Amino acid sequence: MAVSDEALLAGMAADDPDAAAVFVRRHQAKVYGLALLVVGIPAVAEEVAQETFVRAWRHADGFDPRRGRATTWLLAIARHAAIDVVRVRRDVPVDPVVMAETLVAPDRLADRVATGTTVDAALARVPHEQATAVVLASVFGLSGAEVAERTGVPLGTAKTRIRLGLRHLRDELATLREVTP
Amino acid sequence: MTTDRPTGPSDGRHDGAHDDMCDTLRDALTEVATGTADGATRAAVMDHLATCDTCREELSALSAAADELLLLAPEREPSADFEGRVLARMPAPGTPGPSDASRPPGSRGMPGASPSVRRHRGRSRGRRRALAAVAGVGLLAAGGAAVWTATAPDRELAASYREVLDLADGRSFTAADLVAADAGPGETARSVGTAFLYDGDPSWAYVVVRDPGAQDAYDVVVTAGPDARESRLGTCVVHDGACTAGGVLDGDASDVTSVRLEARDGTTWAGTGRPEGWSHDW
Repeated sequence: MAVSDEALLAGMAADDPDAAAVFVRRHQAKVYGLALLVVGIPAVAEEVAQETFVRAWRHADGFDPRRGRATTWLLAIARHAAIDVVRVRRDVPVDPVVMAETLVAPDRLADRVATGTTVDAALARVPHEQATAVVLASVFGLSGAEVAERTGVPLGTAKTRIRLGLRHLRDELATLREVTP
Repeated sequence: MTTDRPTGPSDGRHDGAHDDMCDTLRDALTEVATGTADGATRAAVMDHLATCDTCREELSALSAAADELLLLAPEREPSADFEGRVLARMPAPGTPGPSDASRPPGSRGMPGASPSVRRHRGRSRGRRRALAAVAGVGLLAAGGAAVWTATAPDRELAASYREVLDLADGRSFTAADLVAADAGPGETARSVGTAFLYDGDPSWAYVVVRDPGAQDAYDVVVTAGPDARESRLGTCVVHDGACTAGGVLDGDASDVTSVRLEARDGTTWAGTGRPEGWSHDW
């Protein structure tokens, strides 16, 4: 039986190299994929992914499984690391709006829903403008003002879309988990 | 089609002023959940959460939903031996790790650390952390390169440092340990973070706290000049086991004698230098 992420993190907190190796192998594609999505440059994305695992090791003893899964905890670290880079580099080729539109495209979500991805199924039920806005904020780290500027809507509209989109998503996730716990 | 109809977070909430505050902070709560809130917004939300269980639960649920979105990113395999390169950056034998207190003497670190990486461990690990933390708060607009070469040879680091200063005609960039006030006389001071001082136009100070203790926020207090005048630069609000804060100084950074973190009850929780005076020779 595979060792749980929680057990691997506990091993990392105790400086167990075998636990760290398994943890990295298990999650490297997710972490690198997210980093590449945000920064767009493979070499930089690899640096971000490496930094993510180093930060995860530093904070492994602070991971609390009651507050969420190890995967999303790790990806949140990756997101922070990637956004840090985007903020200090001027050569990042990613247009967050294009990427967000791609992520929330109905056809893509439908394909991924077919493979059983809960968040895709939930996001497919969120109005498109709200889904785009909340992805821009949550994945790419854009503020309400930045979302407004990049999507060409007033600030109030951008903030409302982010707020309602996130609440919609929360409700849809809860509903889906009630149906398929 | 737009379905941006307002739905107040006050549904099922308390009455009166408390409810008003919930409504006032509903966008702020969203910003904290998505990780896009600035320090002041985060501080306002944290203050409110201390007295509002409903909003605390709301934030928890919204944060979880926001984190789920990170699973949207398609998986991609990094280049060969990615794992080896990651493990090489993890702790070498004999260096402090996250579980320093409980680590048995001589416990092993990660395998595969190259000699060039090991050279920068030990004391320089703190420096590497500090540099990474600077990148983490987006302080050095063109100094990101310095962060990403933090494990390169020292001469490259020095060159990057000069480039950073030259870029904005800065005069110096210094750092000092922030140590906890709870160390008794003769005890080893416990480092909880780093204070950075940049002397330029303008000069600024920034703190990065990696071991934030029990409180959820600290005021950053800077002491400067022969008259030891104090100024408050902002609130360092703890999030994900760390906090950062700072701001522009009234005068030169070279006049600063100490940087302190003050708890809500007015006591000094940590600072540069030694607790008896918190002064520090920058």
